[in-house]
Amino acid sequence: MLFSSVTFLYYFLPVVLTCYFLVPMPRGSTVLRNVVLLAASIVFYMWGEPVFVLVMLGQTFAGWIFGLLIEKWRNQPRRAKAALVWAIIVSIAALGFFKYADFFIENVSQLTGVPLAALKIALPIGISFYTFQILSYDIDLYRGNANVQRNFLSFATYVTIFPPLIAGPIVRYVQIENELGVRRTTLSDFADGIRRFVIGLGKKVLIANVLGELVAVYQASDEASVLFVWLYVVAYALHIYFDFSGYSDMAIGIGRMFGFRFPENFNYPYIAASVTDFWRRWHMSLSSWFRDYVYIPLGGNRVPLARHVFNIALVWFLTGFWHGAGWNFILWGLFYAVILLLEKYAIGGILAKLPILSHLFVILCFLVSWIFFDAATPAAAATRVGMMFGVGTDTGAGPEAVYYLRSYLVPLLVAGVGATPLPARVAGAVFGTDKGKKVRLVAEPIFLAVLLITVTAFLVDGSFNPFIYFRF
Amino acid sequence: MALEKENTNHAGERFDCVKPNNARLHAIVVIAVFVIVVGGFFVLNRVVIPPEISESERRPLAKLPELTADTFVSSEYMADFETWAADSFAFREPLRTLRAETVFRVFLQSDKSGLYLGDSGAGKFDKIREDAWRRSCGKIRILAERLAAGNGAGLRETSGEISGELQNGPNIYAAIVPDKSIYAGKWMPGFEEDLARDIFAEELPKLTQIDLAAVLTGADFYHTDLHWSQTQLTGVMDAFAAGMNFTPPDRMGFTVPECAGTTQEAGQFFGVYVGQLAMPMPPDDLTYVPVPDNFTNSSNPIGGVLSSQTETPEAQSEISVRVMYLDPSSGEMEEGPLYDFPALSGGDPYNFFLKGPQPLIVLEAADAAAGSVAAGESTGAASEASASPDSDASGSGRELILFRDSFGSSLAPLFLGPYSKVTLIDLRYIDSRVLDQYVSFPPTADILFLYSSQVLNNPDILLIK
Repeated sequence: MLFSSVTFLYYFLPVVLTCYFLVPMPRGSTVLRNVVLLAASIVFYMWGEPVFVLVMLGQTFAGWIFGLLIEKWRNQPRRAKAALVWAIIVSIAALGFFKYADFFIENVSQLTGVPLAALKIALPIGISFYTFQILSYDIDLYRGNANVQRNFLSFATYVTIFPPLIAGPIVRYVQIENELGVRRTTLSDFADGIRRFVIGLGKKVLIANVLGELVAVYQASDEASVLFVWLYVVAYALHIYFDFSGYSDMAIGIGRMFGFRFPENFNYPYIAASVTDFWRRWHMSLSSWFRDYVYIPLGGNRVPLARHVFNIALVWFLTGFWHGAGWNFILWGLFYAVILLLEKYAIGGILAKLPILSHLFVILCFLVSWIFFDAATPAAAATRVGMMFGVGTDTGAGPEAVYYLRSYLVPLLVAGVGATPLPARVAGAVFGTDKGKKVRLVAEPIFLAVLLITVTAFLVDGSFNPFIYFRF
Repeated sequence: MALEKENTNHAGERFDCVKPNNARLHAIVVIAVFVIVVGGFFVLNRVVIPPEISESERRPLAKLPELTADTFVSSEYMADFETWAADSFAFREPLRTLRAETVFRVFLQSDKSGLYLGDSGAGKFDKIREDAWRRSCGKIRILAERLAAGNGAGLRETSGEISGELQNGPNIYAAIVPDKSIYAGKWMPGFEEDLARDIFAEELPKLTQIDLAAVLTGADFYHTDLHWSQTQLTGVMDAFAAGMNFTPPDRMGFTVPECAGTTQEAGQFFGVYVGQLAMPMPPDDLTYVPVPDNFTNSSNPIGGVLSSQTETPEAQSEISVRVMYLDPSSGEMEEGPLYDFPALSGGDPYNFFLKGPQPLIVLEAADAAAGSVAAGESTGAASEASASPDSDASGSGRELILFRDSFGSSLAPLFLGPYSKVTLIDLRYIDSRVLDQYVSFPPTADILFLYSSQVLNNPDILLIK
């Protein structure tokens, strides 16, 4: 089920919120409310994946059992380690089977020349996200950073809780461990959640979807002009940012309504001063996951140069591969490995002294990277990158590019400005004063109502509405 | 409630460091607004009974799907539920208008998913899909080559070409109905005239091409609909007259110039784009060219006016034009109106012209039809009478077979004059292999293929095997 759907907004959400807050909390216990959340999450998941819900519950159960074993053998390190290894193997095996089996089959077949039939397995929605959540629990438990959860319902609630279930942010068990047991939603929490949710919905439906149409137009076009490919890649960059960050906003907002504080996932990545900085701001829950569970255990940067290069390459290979079973994703990840190493060992010092040039470098890097991310094949990506610089184009600016630039100018400008902290700063300045606060008391609810109704208008009229990160 | 300090400046909406003093009231108002909007629509969607048909979009709205184990496991139920939830949403029409207003007035976009508002009114551009056009032309070429054999028998063939030579057969013409977007006053990424011409020239080299793009303007189309206005087709008829070598328009019984002062307004209507755009627009006047009292086809005067089945006062008059429709269910030809006034109040008022989508229609000047079987006696074989080459003995002596889409409905009556008989064939509704059961194809007949981009972009709907 999509957050940005009539079904979610006007059927699922009101029913779940009503049930949730009608359920009592005897002696402050959230058990019954967790049951409501678990049931709602299963319905939410089944709405998109009625069969694969069993896979998710199976992985959840396995992760929980291994957690119990790790705790049981806490004083027997070898057994505890074995339990952890098996927990990792089971989770990665499930992820590998459903997400990567056909990729391996296809490549082995091409390498060996032996025709092998693809399994053609559908990808369970959100498997990459909830698998990483389960892994974080077992690893943190083994490391002693988390307490064991003996109640399966509570653990299942953690893994399956619907706001971040299918597109993140990746929530670690330790981040909501306390809230699973004791939480309450204040009026302020609920209002903040609404605010965050509605704005995320607006980002998704009014900006990401609109720019997604421009991306689709480019992909369907035959025009090979420099302007069109730049228009496409800028639109795609803004589209994917507003798509994903909008979803994260909605997830965080809904979580807040239920009394959870999920981690932030974005912090204005497109204003980053360097590519290293970019990855501290983009999909923060994923990059920190790889940092804490892969990069640092490998030694991080406190190792010899060659080993550091290996560590970076491996982490970014895995990051790319996590996003999709395709060589374009692997190249996308390795592209960032190269850039990060360049920044670290070659040009970082120079760029630090030239902030404008450095920022232009960051922009160029993420634009090129998104072309690899979106392309069907590496060859197609290389062609588009070449077209950005006039290679393989027919003209500088064709009529179609000019038309769509004119037609999408306002959404592009709104998105461009909206991807920076400027709107927040302006709002802060305007509403930060005593008088402004009084104005905000009236203006903000009106703004939220107008936004919500406008989003509803777009949903009811059946507009373009995919979610990019669902396929991960 | 305790006031909290926000510790993040991440998201655009969290711009205050300290909550205002009236934070509780503020929170209550925000929550109340959310509950009113979401809860309000939740309740309204249960209370308000949605219509079964969207009149503006001219389509039936989705019904609540049936929940079964199969539809659930296959996710079909969920997909259908979402469609139903959107279709049955309370105040759907105003919400659709809100979206359109946002797209055009706030985002200042030139179009909404291809739907635009231009100087010539509303329209929708669909890119010419070159492969599809070439496939459509390939089908037309096959049919033309079979017809070039001189009779309809070859139509039953399902493979191979009967003849690659057309010079000894009938005169075969081809014309493209240009998309109105080319007259919108600004370049639209849809219909490319040059590409359209090139495809027709390359794929149909043996057909005589008649170019209509240059003789039309945006004003010749309805503002709210994709079709052209019958009373604006002077230039089009001039182009056909020149290309098909018939008598200049001023001798036509139905010519627009003659009727310039006598065109009649059937009523006002909202074209298809009003509903698709969901924007408030003034209605179009649906005007038509009546058969003049002194209707004369090129050679023989005919008394009387109009068809017998119209519901206008003129309907009391004598018949001068016989219009025969193929009833697909019975396979028989039945007489019907030239202009269908009841259609004006139906789902698609453009069906006023020749009753809209029809597989086969024969228009025949009354005198040309004299000697034909009377109306009501017509059967499948009646087409032999109405379509007999012998009918050339009366009227202009010329016959036109028009392979067409909906644009042909309003155009075809204007051909009555230079042609004694016009046979309209819509291959979206009748298979080419059965045509010879209903239509004879005399070698002397002119054949015209007239299609718009909507059809040429969808070759599979042309039933040419």
